[in-house]
Amino acid sequence: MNLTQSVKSIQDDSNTHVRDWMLMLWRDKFAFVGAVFLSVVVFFAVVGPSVLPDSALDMNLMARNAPPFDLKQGWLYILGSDNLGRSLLARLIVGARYTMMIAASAVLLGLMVGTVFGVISGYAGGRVGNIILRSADVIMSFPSLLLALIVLFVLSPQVSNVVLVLALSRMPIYLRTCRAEVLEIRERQFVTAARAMGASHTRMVFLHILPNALPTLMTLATLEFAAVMLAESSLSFLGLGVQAPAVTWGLMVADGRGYLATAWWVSFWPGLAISMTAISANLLANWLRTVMDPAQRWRLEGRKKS
Amino acid sequence: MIDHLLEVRDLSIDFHSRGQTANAVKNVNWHLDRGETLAILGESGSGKSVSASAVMGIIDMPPGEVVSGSIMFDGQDILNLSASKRRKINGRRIAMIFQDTLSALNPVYSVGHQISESMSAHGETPINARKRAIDLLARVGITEPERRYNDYPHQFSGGQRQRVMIAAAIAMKPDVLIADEPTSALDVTVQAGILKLLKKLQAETGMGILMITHDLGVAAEVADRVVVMNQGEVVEHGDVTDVLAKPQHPYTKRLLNAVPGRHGYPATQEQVGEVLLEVSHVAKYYGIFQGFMKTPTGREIRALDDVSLTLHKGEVLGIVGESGSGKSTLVNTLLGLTRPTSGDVLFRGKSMLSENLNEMRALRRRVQVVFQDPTASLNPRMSIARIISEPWAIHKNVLPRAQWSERVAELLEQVGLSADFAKRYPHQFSGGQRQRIAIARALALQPDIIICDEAVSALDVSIQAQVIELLKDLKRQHGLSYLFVAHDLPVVRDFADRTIVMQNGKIVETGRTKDVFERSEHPYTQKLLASRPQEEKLRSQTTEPVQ
Repeated sequence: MNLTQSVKSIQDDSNTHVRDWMLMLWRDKFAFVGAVFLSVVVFFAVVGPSVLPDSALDMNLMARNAPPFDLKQGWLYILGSDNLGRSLLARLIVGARYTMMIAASAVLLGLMVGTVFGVISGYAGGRVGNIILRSADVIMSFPSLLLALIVLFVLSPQVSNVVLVLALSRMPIYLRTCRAEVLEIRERQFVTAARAMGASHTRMVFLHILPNALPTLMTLATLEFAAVMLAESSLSFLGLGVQAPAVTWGLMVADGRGYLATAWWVSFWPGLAISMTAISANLLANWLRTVMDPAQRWRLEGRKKS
Repeated sequence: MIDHLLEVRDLSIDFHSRGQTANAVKNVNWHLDRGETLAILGESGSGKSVSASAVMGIIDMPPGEVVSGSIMFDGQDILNLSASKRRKINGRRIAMIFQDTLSALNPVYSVGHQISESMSAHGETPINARKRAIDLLARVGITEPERRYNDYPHQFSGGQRQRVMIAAAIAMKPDVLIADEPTSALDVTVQAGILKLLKKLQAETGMGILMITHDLGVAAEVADRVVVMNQGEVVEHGDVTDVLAKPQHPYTKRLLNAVPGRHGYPATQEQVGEVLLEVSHVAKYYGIFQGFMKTPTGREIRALDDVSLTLHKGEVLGIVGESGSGKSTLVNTLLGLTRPTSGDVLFRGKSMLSENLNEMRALRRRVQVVFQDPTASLNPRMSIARIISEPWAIHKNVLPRAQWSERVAELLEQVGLSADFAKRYPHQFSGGQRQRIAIARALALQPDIIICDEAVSALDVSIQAQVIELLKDLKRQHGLSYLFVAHDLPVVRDFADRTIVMQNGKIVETGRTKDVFERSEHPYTQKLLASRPQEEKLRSQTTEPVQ
């Protein structure tokens, strides 16, 4: 086989790969719906604020706490409005950006840092492993809200600092899970087999241990996604998170807290958005876990078990 | 019709999964009388455990479904009994012991408590239950039963735990004892003790024993009658001596033929070849540390104690030892996974324990390994192609990447698999096929020596024979030498040129395989050989060595 041919075959390969993956996504209907919902959220997060730059902030005192499904004020008020008469729909769309940005970066950062330290602690073991583990325990036992208060008081409440605090306080969860997985996988025979072949540490960690630990970590990360969104809202509620006029879903939930009896929709829509996003992420993670496991993949490949 | 104690009539059980139906057992008939032992003999997937599970009522339905047949116990069909009536039979009149004693005993209760529990559950007062539990422990051969009553499962050895399980099972004086592979996880000498104990208890109580096993030797040892199963069907049924001496069904014949060591000794010539591997005075001590500060106690465990051996080119050296004999430490030392406390390992005169990493890697290439459990030793997330080509990724400059796929296909065909298996994943193969894949991986670097660490122990006998046949072929084609580690003597009998017997980290006997078997000098070797007298008898009908 000459070079051009092999390059072509690799391209064909990747094309069929994409198609296979789409097909496998289509076969898991729940995950498919989740993926569609997440795409919509991401789409709004990207283009929303530029399409509706002012609608989210425009106060309309005539329409204070306007109920949902009432088209008197125009289609922007279909989901109702908050106590200052701002369109909830517009705020949801605009809020998607900061919400997703904060949650996604906090989860990713926490996941990465936690995994790195978890792998080191589990794989190296010994004194280094213990020091890492105990440090994580210290962070975990320290009230996370207090930690956030201190950090944000010292560092000024910016979006980047909010992400930092959220990632730091959730990091030990990934670390401990990852360490436990590594400890177990490290003792499996294929890792010993690789060692006997003379494999380097990098190879053993990245080719043998991490791929087997990843499914657990992915599932954990999607569960954390919702938790981080809510944690962010409590920070914002205390005035330490995102600062007005910027808006996040968590902040919207907190805003509506005082009106639950009279205008439930102020908290309800952002709350619904948070849980739908979390559930979608979770369904998608579940699908991903199945796809990545060679022993489970047949369930999505539309064929009988081999 | 004569009434038997326990009788399975025309039993068919299906398992349904995802629209497919698997016939686990088809029209199975067998019966068991008081005081006799029936062995159900079969390999994995033969359905040998299914009918016994049906007797105990521990088949999940669905997915299981009893299609036809009945199970008569003491004149009533227990398949139609209500759950509460069934509970009165289970444990009290039909008891069961399992293979995995560690998971069958609850780790948070003392063993005494667990034995008395079944008696209290069936209405014995706690004080009486305790007294009887201590009696039972004594009866199954646990020394100092008073003291051990309060010990927890992890404080017992595997053989002792099986004895505890037996004590719990016979606590209610059952009529039937179902033993599901009770000795498969145990060392042969321990196994012999357990089988003897079962025979003794049977003579005392007159219970019927249903022994489920894959091991012809065990069946020959304890059974009066034997039922041979293959793919859910009973293929042969009869007196154990008749079936083993004059098997009728081709499957039974094949099974008997596959028993290791029935083909005489390999024609051993004097070893004049080059010495490939030399292990000289290797020792590995583990210090014992105590207390919070981990202070050394001065005592140490000698995992390996002054072990020396040589392996010549083209030779098969068998290393036999039970658990704790140090054979695993020896293998790990040879593979460079543990550093010995003292001594040296030389490959063609060069030390393999050198500090020079590059030199060591080059030497390590020459020694490859095949592990016991092919399921565990292949990464489940890698395709077969990646598994087999991993050695080339680790040892660069052995084979250019462009030739990998071609070479993988070649290796797969050499080990008797099809070249297009390369794209598949380990879970799609059977145990024997997986072991072939592991062998292909070991061959990838064209080593001089392959260490087979219990490489066939986890396989069914017929598969075992095939894998050994493959190893013999590969040896002829590639001029390989093997270090063949096993926990049991028979496996090395018709394969190894020389055999080493290890006990407690020391080599107790070494010599040509024939001499070790026929003129063993050390009492431990003799004990190993004597642990399976009936199976040895089977071997007296040996055929000519296949060369």
